[in-house]
Amino acid sequence: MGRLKEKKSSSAVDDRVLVSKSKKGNKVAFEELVRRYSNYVYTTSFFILRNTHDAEDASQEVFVKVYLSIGGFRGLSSFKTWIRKLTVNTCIDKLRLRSKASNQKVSLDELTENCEVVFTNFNRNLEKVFLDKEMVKKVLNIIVSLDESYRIPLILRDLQDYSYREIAELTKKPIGTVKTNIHRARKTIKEKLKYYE
Amino acid sequence: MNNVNKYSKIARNIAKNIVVRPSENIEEKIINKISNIDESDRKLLDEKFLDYLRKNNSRLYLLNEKIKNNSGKVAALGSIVALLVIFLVAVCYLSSSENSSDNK
Repeated sequence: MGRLKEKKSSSAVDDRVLVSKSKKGNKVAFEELVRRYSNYVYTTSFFILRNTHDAEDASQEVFVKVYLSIGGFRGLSSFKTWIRKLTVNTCIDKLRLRSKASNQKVSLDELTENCEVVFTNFNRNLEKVFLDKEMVKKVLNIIVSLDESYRIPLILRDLQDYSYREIAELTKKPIGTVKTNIHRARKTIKEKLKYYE
Repeated sequence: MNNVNKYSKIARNIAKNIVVRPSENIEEKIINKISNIDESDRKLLDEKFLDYLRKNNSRLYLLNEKIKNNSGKVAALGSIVALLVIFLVAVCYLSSSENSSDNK
Protein backbone atom coordinates (compact mmCIF):
# COMPACT_ATOMS: atom_id res chain seq x y z
CA MET A 1 0.00 0.00 0.00
CA GLY A 2 2.81 2.32 1.04
CA ARG A 3 4.77 1.44 -2.07
CA LEU A 4 1.70 2.09 -4.22
CA LYS A 5 1.25 5.49 -2.60
CA GLU A 6 4.93 6.25 -3.12
CA LYS A 7 4.75 5.16 -6.77
CA LYS A 8 1.61 7.24 -7.28
CA SER A 9 3.10 10.38 -5.75
CA SER A 10 6.41 9.98 -7.60
CA SER A 11 4.50 9.65 -10.88
CA ALA A 12 2.49 12.77 -10.02
CA VAL A 13 5.69 14.68 -9.25
CA ASP A 14 7.23 13.49 -12.50
CA ASP A 15 4.18 14.72 -14.38
CA ARG A 16 4.53 18.16 -12.86
CA VAL A 17 8.23 18.26 -13.73
CA LEU A 18 7.52 17.12 -17.28
CA VAL A 19 4.72 19.67 -17.67
CA SER A 20 6.94 22.43 -16.33
CA LYS A 21 9.76 21.47 -18.73
CA SER A 22 7.30 21.19 -21.63
CA LYS A 23 6.04 24.70 -20.85
CA LYS A 24 9.59 25.94 -21.37
CA GLY A 25 9.65 24.28 -24.78
CA ASN A 26 11.46 21.06 -23.83
CA LYS A 27 10.29 18.67 -26.55
CA VAL A 28 11.85 15.59 -24.93
CA ALA A 29 9.75 16.20 -21.80
CA PHE A 30 6.62 16.54 -23.90
CA GLU A 31 7.42 13.33 -25.75
CA GLU A 32 7.65 11.58 -22.39
CA LEU A 33 4.16 12.88 -21.57
CA VAL A 34 2.99 11.46 -24.91
CA ARG A 35 4.53 8.07 -24.08
CA ARG A 36 2.93 8.13 -20.66
CA TYR A 37 -0.58 9.08 -21.71
CA SER A 38 -1.03 8.08 -25.36
CA ASN A 39 -2.49 4.65 -24.53
CA TYR A 40 -4.79 6.16 -21.93
CA VAL A 41 -6.06 8.80 -24.38
CA TYR A 42 -6.40 6.19 -27.15
CA THR A 43 -8.34 3.77 -24.89
CA THR A 44 -10.76 6.47 -23.75
CA SER A 45 -11.30 7.60 -27.35
CA PHE A 46 -11.68 4.02 -28.50
CA PHE A 47 -14.49 3.19 -26.07
CA ILE A 48 -16.39 6.38 -26.87
CA LEU A 49 -15.92 6.38 -30.65
CA ARG A 50 -15.80 2.58 -31.21
CA ASN A 51 -13.56 3.00 -34.23
CA THR A 52 -9.77 2.56 -34.37
CA HIS A 53 -9.21 5.26 -37.00
CA ASP A 54 -11.39 7.81 -35.21
CA ALA A 55 -9.71 6.96 -31.89
CA GLU A 56 -6.32 7.54 -33.51
CA ASP A 57 -7.45 10.88 -34.99
CA ALA A 58 -8.91 11.96 -31.66
CA SER A 59 -5.69 11.00 -29.82
CA GLN A 60 -3.58 13.05 -32.23
CA GLU A 61 -5.98 15.98 -31.96
CA VAL A 62 -5.87 15.87 -28.14
CA PHE A 63 -2.06 15.90 -28.04
CA VAL A 64 -1.85 18.70 -30.62
CA LYS A 65 -4.21 20.77 -28.44
CA VAL A 66 -2.14 19.93 -25.35
CA TYR A 67 1.12 20.79 -27.12
CA LEU A 68 -0.17 24.12 -28.38
CA SER A 69 -1.75 25.16 -25.10
CA ILE A 70 0.49 23.66 -22.41
CA GLY A 71 1.97 27.10 -21.79
CA GLY A 72 -1.43 28.22 -20.52
CA PHE A 73 -1.94 25.22 -18.22
CA ARG A 74 -1.67 26.46 -14.61
CA GLY A 75 -1.70 23.01 -13.05
CA LEU A 76 -4.65 23.60 -10.69
CA SER A 77 -5.77 20.05 -11.52
CA SER A 78 -3.48 17.13 -12.31
CA PHE A 79 -2.24 16.70 -15.87
CA LYS A 80 -4.13 13.40 -16.07
CA THR A 81 -7.43 15.06 -15.11
CA TRP A 82 -6.81 17.82 -17.64
CA ILE A 83 -6.02 15.45 -20.49
CA ARG A 84 -8.89 13.13 -19.54
CA LYS A 85 -11.45 15.93 -19.75
CA LEU A 86 -9.91 17.20 -22.95
CA THR A 87 -10.12 13.71 -24.49
CA VAL A 88 -13.74 13.22 -23.47
CA ASN A 89 -14.70 16.69 -24.79
CA THR A 90 -12.92 16.05 -28.10
CA CYS A 91 -14.57 12.64 -28.54
CA ILE A 92 -18.05 13.92 -27.66
CA ASP A 93 -17.62 16.70 -30.25
CA LYS A 94 -16.54 14.13 -32.85
CA LEU A 95 -19.51 11.95 -31.96
CA ARG A 96 -21.90 14.87 -32.52
CA LEU A 97 -20.47 15.40 -35.99
CA ARG A 98 -21.02 11.77 -36.91
CA SER A 99 -24.16 10.62 -38.63
CA LYS A 100 -26.73 8.49 -36.84
CA ALA A 101 -25.90 5.70 -39.25
CA SER A 102 -22.58 5.13 -37.53
CA ASN A 103 -24.41 4.16 -34.35
CA GLN A 104 -24.49 0.55 -35.47
CA LYS A 105 -24.04 -2.63 -33.46
CA VAL A 106 -20.41 -3.67 -33.00
CA SER A 107 -18.62 -6.19 -30.84
CA LEU A 108 -15.42 -5.82 -28.82
CA ASP A 109 -13.80 -8.72 -30.74
CA GLU A 110 -14.53 -6.96 -34.01
CA LEU A 111 -13.22 -3.68 -32.63
CA THR A 112 -10.09 -5.14 -31.07
CA GLU A 113 -9.17 -7.18 -34.13
CA ASN A 114 -6.12 -5.00 -34.70
CA CYS A 115 -5.56 -4.06 -31.05
CA GLU A 116 -4.44 -5.66 -27.85
CA VAL A 117 -6.53 -5.38 -24.68
CA VAL A 118 -4.16 -5.11 -21.72
CA PHE A 119 -5.13 -5.33 -18.06
CA THR A 120 -3.21 -2.99 -15.77
CA ASN A 121 -3.43 -3.15 -11.94
CA PHE A 122 -5.29 -6.46 -12.14
CA ASN A 123 -5.95 -7.56 -8.55
CA ARG A 124 -5.18 -11.24 -8.04
CA ASN A 125 -7.67 -11.50 -5.16
CA LEU A 126 -10.53 -10.82 -7.50
CA GLU A 127 -9.77 -14.05 -9.29
CA LYS A 128 -10.60 -15.86 -6.05
CA VAL A 129 -14.22 -14.80 -6.43
CA PHE A 130 -14.30 -16.53 -9.82
CA LEU A 131 -14.03 -13.30 -11.67
CA ASP A 132 -11.53 -13.64 -14.47
CA LYS A 133 -10.37 -11.45 -17.27
CA GLU A 134 -12.84 -13.10 -19.61
CA MET A 135 -15.70 -11.82 -17.45
CA VAL A 136 -14.35 -8.27 -17.69
CA LYS A 137 -14.06 -8.67 -21.45
CA LYS A 138 -17.67 -9.87 -21.56
CA VAL A 139 -18.77 -6.78 -19.64
CA LEU A 140 -16.74 -4.57 -21.99
CA ASN A 141 -18.22 -6.39 -24.94
CA ILE A 142 -21.72 -5.62 -23.68
CA ILE A 143 -20.75 -1.97 -23.02
CA VAL A 144 -19.37 -1.36 -26.53
CA SER A 145 -22.43 -2.96 -28.10
CA LEU A 146 -24.82 -0.65 -26.21
CA ASP A 147 -26.71 2.09 -27.96
CA GLU A 148 -24.93 5.48 -27.86
CA SER A 149 -27.46 7.04 -25.49
CA TYR A 150 -26.67 4.33 -22.92
CA ARG A 151 -23.01 3.68 -23.71
CA ILE A 152 -21.66 7.23 -23.39
CA PRO A 153 -23.22 8.07 -19.98
CA LEU A 154 -22.21 4.65 -18.63
CA ILE A 155 -18.58 5.00 -19.81
CA LEU A 156 -18.36 8.52 -18.40
CA ARG A 157 -19.88 7.49 -15.07
CA ASP A 158 -18.32 4.07 -14.46
CA LEU A 159 -15.03 4.23 -16.34
CA GLN A 160 -14.24 7.94 -16.16
CA ASP A 161 -15.79 8.84 -12.77
CA TYR A 162 -17.81 11.80 -14.08
CA SER A 163 -20.67 13.10 -11.93
CA TYR A 164 -24.26 12.85 -13.22
CA ARG A 165 -24.33 16.65 -13.50
CA GLU A 166 -21.17 16.74 -15.63
CA ILE A 167 -22.53 13.99 -17.90
CA ALA A 168 -25.80 15.88 -18.29
CA GLU A 169 -23.87 19.03 -19.29
CA LEU A 170 -21.64 17.15 -21.74
CA THR A 171 -24.37 15.15 -23.42
CA LYS A 172 -26.83 18.06 -23.26
CA LYS A 173 -29.50 15.88 -21.67
CA PRO A 174 -31.53 16.37 -18.49
CA ILE A 175 -29.92 14.85 -15.40
CA GLY A 176 -32.94 12.57 -14.89
CA THR A 177 -32.51 11.10 -18.39
CA VAL A 178 -28.82 10.52 -17.73
CA LYS A 179 -29.57 8.67 -14.48
CA THR A 180 -32.27 6.57 -16.17
CA ASN A 181 -30.00 5.69 -19.10
CA ILE A 182 -27.15 4.66 -16.80
CA HIS A 183 -29.55 2.55 -14.73
CA ARG A 184 -30.88 0.87 -17.89
CA ALA A 185 -27.35 0.28 -19.22
CA ARG A 186 -26.32 -1.41 -15.96
CA LYS A 187 -29.51 -3.47 -16.03
CA THR A 188 -28.75 -4.58 -19.60
CA ILE A 189 -25.24 -5.64 -18.53
CA LYS A 190 -26.65 -7.67 -15.64
CA GLU A 191 -29.29 -9.29 -17.82
CA LYS A 192 -26.77 -10.25 -20.49
CA LEU A 193 -24.31 -11.53 -17.87
CA LYS A 194 -26.97 -13.93 -16.57
CA TYR A 195 -26.47 -16.01 -19.71
CA TYR A 196 -22.81 -16.46 -18.86
CA GLU A 197 -23.48 -17.57 -15.25
CA MET B 1 -28.63 -12.49 -9.28
CA ASN B 2 -26.46 -11.26 -6.39
CA ASN B 3 -23.43 -12.78 -8.08
CA VAL B 4 -24.31 -11.05 -11.34
CA ASN B 5 -24.59 -7.72 -9.54
CA LYS B 6 -21.23 -8.28 -7.88
CA TYR B 7 -19.51 -9.41 -11.10
CA SER B 8 -20.95 -6.52 -13.05
CA LYS B 9 -19.78 -3.96 -10.48
CA ILE B 10 -16.30 -5.47 -10.07
CA ALA B 11 -15.86 -5.90 -13.82
CA ARG B 12 -16.80 -2.26 -14.42
CA ASN B 13 -14.22 -1.26 -11.80
CA ILE B 14 -11.50 -3.38 -13.40
CA ALA B 15 -12.42 -2.03 -16.82
CA LYS B 16 -11.14 1.38 -15.62
CA ASN B 17 -7.63 -0.02 -15.76
CA ILE B 18 -7.88 -1.56 -19.18
CA VAL B 19 -5.66 -0.25 -21.92
CA VAL B 20 -6.33 -0.84 -25.60
CA ARG B 21 -3.08 -0.87 -27.56
CA PRO B 22 -3.43 -0.29 -31.28
CA SER B 23 -1.39 -2.44 -33.65
CA GLU B 24 0.43 0.58 -35.02
CA ASN B 25 2.63 2.69 -32.78
CA ILE B 26 0.37 5.53 -31.71
CA GLU B 27 3.13 7.28 -29.73
CA GLU B 28 5.35 7.71 -32.76
CA LYS B 29 2.42 8.95 -34.84
CA ILE B 30 1.58 11.58 -32.20
CA ILE B 31 5.22 12.62 -31.84
CA ASN B 32 5.48 12.94 -35.62
CA LYS B 33 2.28 14.98 -35.68
CA ILE B 34 3.48 17.47 -33.07
CA SER B 35 6.77 17.81 -34.93
CA ASN B 36 4.89 18.88 -38.04
CA ILE B 37 2.19 21.20 -36.78
CA ASP B 38 0.70 23.40 -39.49
CA GLU B 39 -1.73 26.31 -39.58
CA SER B 40 -4.80 24.03 -39.76
CA ASP B 41 -3.78 22.41 -36.46
CA ARG B 42 -3.70 25.79 -34.77
CA LYS B 43 -7.39 26.16 -35.67
CA LEU B 44 -8.08 23.36 -33.16
CA LEU B 45 -7.63 25.98 -30.44
CA ASP B 46 -11.08 27.39 -31.13
CA GLU B 47 -13.24 29.48 -28.81
CA LYS B 48 -14.71 26.40 -27.14
CA PHE B 49 -11.28 25.03 -26.29
CA LEU B 50 -10.01 28.38 -25.04
CA ASP B 51 -13.08 28.62 -22.82
CA TYR B 52 -12.29 25.16 -21.41
CA LEU B 53 -8.68 26.23 -20.77
CA ARG B 54 -9.82 29.46 -19.09
CA LYS B 55 -12.22 27.59 -16.81
CA ASN B 56 -9.60 25.03 -15.86
CA ASN B 57 -7.24 27.81 -14.87
CA SER B 58 -9.76 29.38 -12.51
CA ARG B 59 -9.65 28.29 -8.85
CA LEU B 60 -13.13 29.71 -8.31
CA TYR B 61 -14.58 27.70 -11.20
CA LEU B 62 -12.91 24.47 -10.06
CA LEU B 63 -14.11 24.99 -6.46
CA ASN B 64 -17.62 25.71 -7.71
CA GLU B 65 -17.52 22.50 -9.82
CA LYS B 66 -16.29 20.50 -6.82
CA ILE B 67 -19.17 21.82 -4.69
CA LYS B 68 -21.73 21.16 -7.42
CA ASN B 69 -20.43 17.62 -7.98
CA ASN B 70 -20.52 16.85 -4.27
CA SER B 71 -23.66 18.77 -3.33
CA GLY B 72 -24.84 15.93 -1.07
CA LYS B 73 -21.63 15.89 0.93
CA VAL B 74 -21.60 19.70 1.15
CA ALA B 75 -25.21 19.71 2.39
CA ALA B 76 -24.41 17.01 4.97
CA LEU B 77 -21.35 18.93 6.16
CA GLY B 78 -23.40 22.14 6.33
CA SER B 79 -26.07 20.41 8.42
CA ILE B 80 -23.45 19.03 10.82
CA VAL B 81 -21.86 22.46 11.22
CA ALA B 82 -25.30 24.08 11.75
CA LEU B 83 -26.22 21.46 14.38
CA LEU B 84 -22.87 21.97 16.11
CA VAL B 85 -23.41 25.73 16.21
CA ILE B 86 -26.95 25.28 17.61
CA PHE B 87 -25.59 22.87 20.22
CA LEU B 88 -22.81 25.28 21.27
CA VAL B 89 -25.24 28.22 21.45
CA ALA B 90 -27.61 26.13 23.59
CA VAL B 91 -24.78 25.06 25.91
CA CYS B 92 -23.59 28.67 26.28
CA TYR B 93 -27.14 29.87 26.91
CA LEU B 94 -27.79 27.18 29.52
CA SER B 95 -24.50 27.78 31.33
CA SER B 96 -25.05 31.55 31.38
CA SER B 97 -28.62 31.15 32.72
CA GLU B 98 -27.31 28.77 35.41
CA ASN B 99 -24.68 31.33 36.40
CA SER B 100 -27.24 34.13 36.64
CA SER B 101 -29.58 31.98 38.81
CA ASP B 102 -26.61 31.11 41.07
CA ASN B 103 -25.79 34.83 41.46
CA LYS B 104 -29.37 35.56 42.48
